[in-house]
Amino acid sequence: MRRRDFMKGALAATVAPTVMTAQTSSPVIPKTGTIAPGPLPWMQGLDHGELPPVRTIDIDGIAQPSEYFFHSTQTATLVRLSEVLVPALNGYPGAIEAQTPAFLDFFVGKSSPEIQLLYRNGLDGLDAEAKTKYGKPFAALDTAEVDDIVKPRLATWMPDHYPTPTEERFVTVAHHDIRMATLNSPAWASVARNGDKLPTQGEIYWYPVEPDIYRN
Amino acid sequence: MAQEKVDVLIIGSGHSGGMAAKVLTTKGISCVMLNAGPIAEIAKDTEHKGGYELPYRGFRPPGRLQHVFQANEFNANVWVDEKEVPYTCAPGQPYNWVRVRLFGGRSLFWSRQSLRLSDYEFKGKSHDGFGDDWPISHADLAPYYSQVEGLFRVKGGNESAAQLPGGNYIFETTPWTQSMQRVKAASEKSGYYFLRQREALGVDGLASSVNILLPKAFDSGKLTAIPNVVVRELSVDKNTGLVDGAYFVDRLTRREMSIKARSVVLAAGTLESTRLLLNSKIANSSGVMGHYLADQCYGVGVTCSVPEARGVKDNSAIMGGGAVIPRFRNITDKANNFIRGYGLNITSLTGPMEPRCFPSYGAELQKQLDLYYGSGFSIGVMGEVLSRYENHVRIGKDAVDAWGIPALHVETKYTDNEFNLSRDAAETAAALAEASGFEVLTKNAAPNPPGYSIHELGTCRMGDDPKTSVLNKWNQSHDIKNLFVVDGSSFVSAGWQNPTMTILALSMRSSEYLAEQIRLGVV
Repeated sequence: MRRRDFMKGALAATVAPTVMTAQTSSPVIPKTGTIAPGPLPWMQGLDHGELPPVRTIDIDGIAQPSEYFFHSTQTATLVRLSEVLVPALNGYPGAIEAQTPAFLDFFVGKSSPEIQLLYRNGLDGLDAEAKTKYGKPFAALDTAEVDDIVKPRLATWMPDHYPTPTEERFVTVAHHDIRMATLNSPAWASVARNGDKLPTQGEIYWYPVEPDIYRN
Repeated sequence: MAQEKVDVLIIGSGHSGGMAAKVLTTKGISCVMLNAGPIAEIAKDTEHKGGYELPYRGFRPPGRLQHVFQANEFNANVWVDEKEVPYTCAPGQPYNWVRVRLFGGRSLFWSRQSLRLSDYEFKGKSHDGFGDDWPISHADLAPYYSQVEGLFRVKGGNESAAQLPGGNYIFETTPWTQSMQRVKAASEKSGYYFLRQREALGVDGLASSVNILLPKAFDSGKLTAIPNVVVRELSVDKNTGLVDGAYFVDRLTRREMSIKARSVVLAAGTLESTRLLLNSKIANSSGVMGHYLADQCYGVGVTCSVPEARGVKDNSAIMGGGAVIPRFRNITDKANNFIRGYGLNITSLTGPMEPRCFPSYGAELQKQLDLYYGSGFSIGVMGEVLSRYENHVRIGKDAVDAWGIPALHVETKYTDNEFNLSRDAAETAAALAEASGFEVLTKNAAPNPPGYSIHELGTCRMGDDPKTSVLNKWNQSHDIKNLFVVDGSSFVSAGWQNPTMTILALSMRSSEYLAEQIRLGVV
């Protein structure tokens, strides 16, 4: 304990005269615990005032994903499904403008195997039915043809209880996800901010509270 | 480094631990409270954000909190991380263990529904022959309920029923809205009570341990608290057989510590308290510790629309308000295929409807959302889950938490009784809505997985017989006289009611008893 105090005092004594030689008007007293090899403490200047703002850009606005979860046909089906389920409406962007298919490719790719299977089978099922019924991929269907396939699969549901039949379940889950991802997108918020429209309601966000340093 | 013994060590800072601290400290007894998690500072730890500002656009982050249906990206950091504190379930028997370790625990986040149990719960076996009676009745707990209701500023009506006793309420006298009047009439025609909702107003909108109970304890100068410590085991004096403290680990530094105490009050939440006792290998001469896990089944109900409220610019005379229909099955009649019963939460909604209520999308969906705006009506079900010996927890063989403490294994499932009860409840809710002239938009008769209600109860049940119960009627261990367990683990049966008021009342009663035992020098 004594040795540490002695060392702090010795360091202060050696730093202070050096600084005073260079700038006689304001001597700098180094703070304990942040002794740097250079002339000033590392944390100097961080304890008062705001840092200048940094201009950022939404990552999807400039970069492309390096990997995709869905294969190209599934992606095309998801894009067409998103376009019809959540179109641009009343001046708000639709799922396409909100880049929802790309978000869902990422999100589903990180989700549980059950969700991944639901999406993959669901998209494949829609495409297979389109080919059987209309002789073309789902992605090439016009809106009336999409309606013809999708509407019979729609069902109402209670929270945490999506419909049980797999086809209905997929369309219901996908509709919920596409809608939520679109309403919570930067594109939607941007339109809402710039006009007199209301942004989607926010909530209290909780940061990690003293996270465990060993958490993986 | 000699260590001084504290009078009472309280483990857990939620409603039950907070109540114990308040009662004991205001009687001059020194307490130290241990809590497994940190102290939240709202100004520092939270921020109002839009979903577009978050990486997952508000969705629950993938791979996290798979059993916490309540979780989303906004609140994901509130819940206990399932990788950090894991638990295991029997194959095909999911259990949703929803936990909070912030100081104040789950008392920071609850629905405020403030109901008493009745003697249909306390004396359930006497009524229908199933399970066991509690060693106490409503009359024993009534004075404590009244005090708790006063502390938490519970709002309610001045009416009551044998199956839902009234209380010390701030009486609500605003007239029923028209939609509520219609359900009230339909309910009474069916022979159901229709009572005003009972909810804790708390103070400044919060009804938590941290703002209602703990300030009084800290003001007494008799309470100190240690956050971020995870209790590993209780320690036992080999000479007396009494508990004499706890071994714990610092959550952040992994430093192993211990503390000595004359008495221990466990209030870590039903399953954490039981886990701690099982890991300590104490207080289980009966062999029933960990058994009789129960809760309430949630998720069943209907969402409707009130036709007259659609397209009306100001429908405030029609919509708004809440009520509770207390259990009516198996009170004077006998249901065909289940025992016990359920209550119904009645809510006349204002504001937008949810898209899930309509089988449509795109412009058509938007048209319906506009048309139905402000006309929503919800009937939710709270069903009693039977307390069965086979529904249990034990210490698992493999998993440990981030601090090497053996994890819990949960084996529980709903039976035909819960499923039949849920079906009956969904049908009854729909019939009630239709009899009220409402359009039923969606209905569900399947309960959520066990645990979802966040009302886990039992596993250290109370009773008069030490051979069949862990605690006596004072929440005191039969085996170890200076050990008290004051959370929901003492419940003999779950009832259909939100258990918070009962947990608080039991903790108050138990803590007063402990204080008297300390004064007499018995403990």
